[in-house]
Amino acid sequence: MSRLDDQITNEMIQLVNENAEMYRIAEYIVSKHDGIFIDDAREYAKYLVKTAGFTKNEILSGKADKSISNWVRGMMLAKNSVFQQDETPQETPLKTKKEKISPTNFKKRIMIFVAGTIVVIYLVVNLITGAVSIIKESVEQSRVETSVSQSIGMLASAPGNDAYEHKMNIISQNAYPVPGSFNSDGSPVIAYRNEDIAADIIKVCSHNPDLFDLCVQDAYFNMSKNRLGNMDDVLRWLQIYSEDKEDLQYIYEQVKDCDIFIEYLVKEGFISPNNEDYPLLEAAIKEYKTLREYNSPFSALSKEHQKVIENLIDEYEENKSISYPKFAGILKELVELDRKGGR
Amino acid sequence: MEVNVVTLENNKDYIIIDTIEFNDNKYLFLSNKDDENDMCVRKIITKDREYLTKLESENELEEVLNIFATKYKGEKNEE
Repeated sequence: MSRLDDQITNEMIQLVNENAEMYRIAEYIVSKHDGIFIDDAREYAKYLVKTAGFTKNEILSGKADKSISNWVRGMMLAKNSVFQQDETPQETPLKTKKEKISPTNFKKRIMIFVAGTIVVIYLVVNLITGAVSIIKESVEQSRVETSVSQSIGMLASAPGNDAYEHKMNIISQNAYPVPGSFNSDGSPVIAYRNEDIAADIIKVCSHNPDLFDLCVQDAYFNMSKNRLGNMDDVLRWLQIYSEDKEDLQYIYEQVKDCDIFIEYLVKEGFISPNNEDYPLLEAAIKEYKTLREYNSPFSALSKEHQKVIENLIDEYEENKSISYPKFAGILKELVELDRKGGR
Repeated sequence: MEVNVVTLENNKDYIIIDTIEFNDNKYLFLSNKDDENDMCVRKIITKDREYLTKLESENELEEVLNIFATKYKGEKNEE
């Protein structure tokens, strides 16, 4: 074969592999969200990989779930609001009835609608480089914070907005590198100190109070990502010692007890306690032992603590003020409760 | 707080979270009472009585969503 043939063949193979990758991601998206077409999901998969900078493994492990949920909201908003091609126009008589809901819940629905609206405007209907560059910036800083910065950055509407810039500075200052974890470019994976999240929220919301309840929700989601980040760290160490043996990871899942698992690794000769990396593995597993993974951090709190947050938001709504020591104290208490694994 | 709820053609109840006027039309921004992530926009048309209908095009949707997004952005800036 000529060199040109080789090049064409390689390019074709690359294209096939890329298409297969996008299709796999699209399947993942469609499997998690009813009503989404595979073709739309594939387009969004391309966006996640090529623009937002997620890897396929990150997406399939759930790290882009929040972005995907926002996108799905936007897609469904558009699909449910506009007549589709094969649809028969229907007119529903307008008849209203009165019901009661909490101001907090009403506000939350508005914020969700705003997030969906922004997705429709900037990503689905009319891709605007401003919103894309916000997402690119956040990915360059840290993938762990993407969901937080996407939500807040998009609500702030444009780069250079005070709340967004301020928030990005705060997050950068309070981040720390996850031990033994590196991105593909060699830079350390960044995570956040949970206890500083409360201060972050206060600082951001003092500039932009309407972001308050979204910040609270995202703070807990961010904490969940910290946990996932630590889990990734544990699995990375497992891979180092197990040479990608899936059965080790399976055993860990079955055992669900870190001390027993370390004993197993030592007994089977996978690692030696004398190995200089052993303390790091032990520390990583023990760290993970104290954390739990949640899909929805806010709903993972006890009802009592959810009420605390909601009451605080209600108080803020009434008084348009945040009592910093009280709020920071409550959040720290909740973080402590999560760390201890209690509810 | 008290809110207005409408029932759509899918027999689900939706909370009216906002109403916006544009081009001599009224648009309702709706949030499913039982699923916060299910939301849509409907236009009010008047014949013998008032009816809710979907929008005719994505352009129309984009126009009203822009007004909605600007409205909330404007409120943030005033503070």
